[in-house]
Amino acid sequence: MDNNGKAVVEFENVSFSYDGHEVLKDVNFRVPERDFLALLGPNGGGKTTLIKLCVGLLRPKKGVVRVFGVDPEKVKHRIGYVPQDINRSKEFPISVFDVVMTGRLAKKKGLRRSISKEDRRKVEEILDQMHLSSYRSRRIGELSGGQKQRVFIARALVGDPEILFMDEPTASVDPAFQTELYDLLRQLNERLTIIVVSHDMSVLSSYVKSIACVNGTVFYHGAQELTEEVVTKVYHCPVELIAHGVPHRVLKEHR
Amino acid sequence: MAGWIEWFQLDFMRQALLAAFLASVACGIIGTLVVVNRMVFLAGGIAHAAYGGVGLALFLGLPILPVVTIFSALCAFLLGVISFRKPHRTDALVSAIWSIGMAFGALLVSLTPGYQSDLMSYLFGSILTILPSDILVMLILDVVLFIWIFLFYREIMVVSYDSEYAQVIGIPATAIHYFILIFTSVAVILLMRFVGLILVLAMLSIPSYLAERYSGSLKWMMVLSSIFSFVFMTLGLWVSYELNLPAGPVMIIISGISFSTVEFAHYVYRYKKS
Repeated sequence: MDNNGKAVVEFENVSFSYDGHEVLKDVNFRVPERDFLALLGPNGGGKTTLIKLCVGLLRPKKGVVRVFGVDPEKVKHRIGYVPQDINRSKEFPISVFDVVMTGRLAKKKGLRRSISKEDRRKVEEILDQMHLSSYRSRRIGELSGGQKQRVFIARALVGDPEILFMDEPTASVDPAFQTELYDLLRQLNERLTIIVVSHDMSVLSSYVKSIACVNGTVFYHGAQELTEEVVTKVYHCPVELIAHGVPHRVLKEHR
Repeated sequence: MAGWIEWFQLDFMRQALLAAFLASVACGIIGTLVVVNRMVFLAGGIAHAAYGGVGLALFLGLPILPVVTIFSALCAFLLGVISFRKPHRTDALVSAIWSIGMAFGALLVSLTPGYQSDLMSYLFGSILTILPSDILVMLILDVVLFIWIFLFYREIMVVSYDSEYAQVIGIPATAIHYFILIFTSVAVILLMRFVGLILVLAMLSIPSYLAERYSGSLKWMMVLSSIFSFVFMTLGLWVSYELNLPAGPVMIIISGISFSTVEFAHYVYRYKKS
């Protein structure tokens, strides 16, 4: 287990089940500060469940989840989250600007949560960064899948999170933007910890610092040490691409 | 045209118009929230089960409006619990409460001695039964609704659009959903005098559905939906007066015609374009 630096996310003997069906069992791992962690694993392996436990959407049935050393509930204003499902109700009358603005609300307290000039400036800035400025007044439902995904990434980033959880953020964006996004994430990674669920190893392999294989249990590979042989031990990990075109990485055995 | 003026000079019509205005404000706001949160079926459950409150009030000889308000608010709460605990069987359980509430009301009414002449008015509405005290109650409920929306607009918007994300950023999504349900029961009571408990669903869904298409934000959807409600209700009052027909059903038919016309126009427009 990697113990370099402070742990920002800790799982201690965490189990989780949906209606008696156990998805995660005795999960133990720590994510160090400023890690860039990719969660890999088969569908139904528990990746999304893991992310939801981290952001406080689900509570563990057993064990403890800590983010920044405390219950995730207490640090919501420091967390950024990009959900997997970006097809919220399509008819909903809300502009791109307003969707992104909701990302600022976590930091606000009290009644009315009024929006300041600073908030607007932040939203404009992030819209620009995500190439969404010209869509700011558009209804969210009129956007393409890739554009929508950028809106949800913008919403997560606009609140200046200290840790970012992303559940397949590049599933429907085009390859050009994908590269750009990961470049941006690498930049952000100098300040914040990033945990991302993704199937796309070709991109991930050149950006991530560590990998966790999630399939009922979690195997955390801290240092850069990936080989096909080891990861294949976790059923269906999409390994074939990991060592493709990048310096060879060697993972430790799952223990 | 003379008909309009004569019509407007009638005292009870002026009172009905004022009441229609107050009811359509609530109708626009709550209808919007019910539609965007996909709670129309739950609203149907509340509206029909509220008939149990009518029966209870008549049976106990208590004033109708307060009893129905409390009764339907309790039903709303119960329906809320069900929809959160059993999200995949909500429709089955809502249907049960829908019918049980109505059956309870029907039983109590039949057990109440004396002739209940205005029973149908609760089911299909009757503007003639609107009392000045009703208008005061409507006004108070509108004010409460306004204060709630004013204070929590952003929270309500986030929860309605993406309740999962609302939870992630620490907004109490469940509490807001309960509030929407409770206020739905309030809107049902406001509209009961006009269109009755059975027809109220159309007033909560049609104006808001139409408004959604032309609104850029939840706020404007509420405003536009209120305007549509007021237009439908006013037209309904006038047509029903001119043709000597019951106002509630006429209001609903007018909403229905407007709704079908707009839908058809959009269909033709899109067909021509492609």
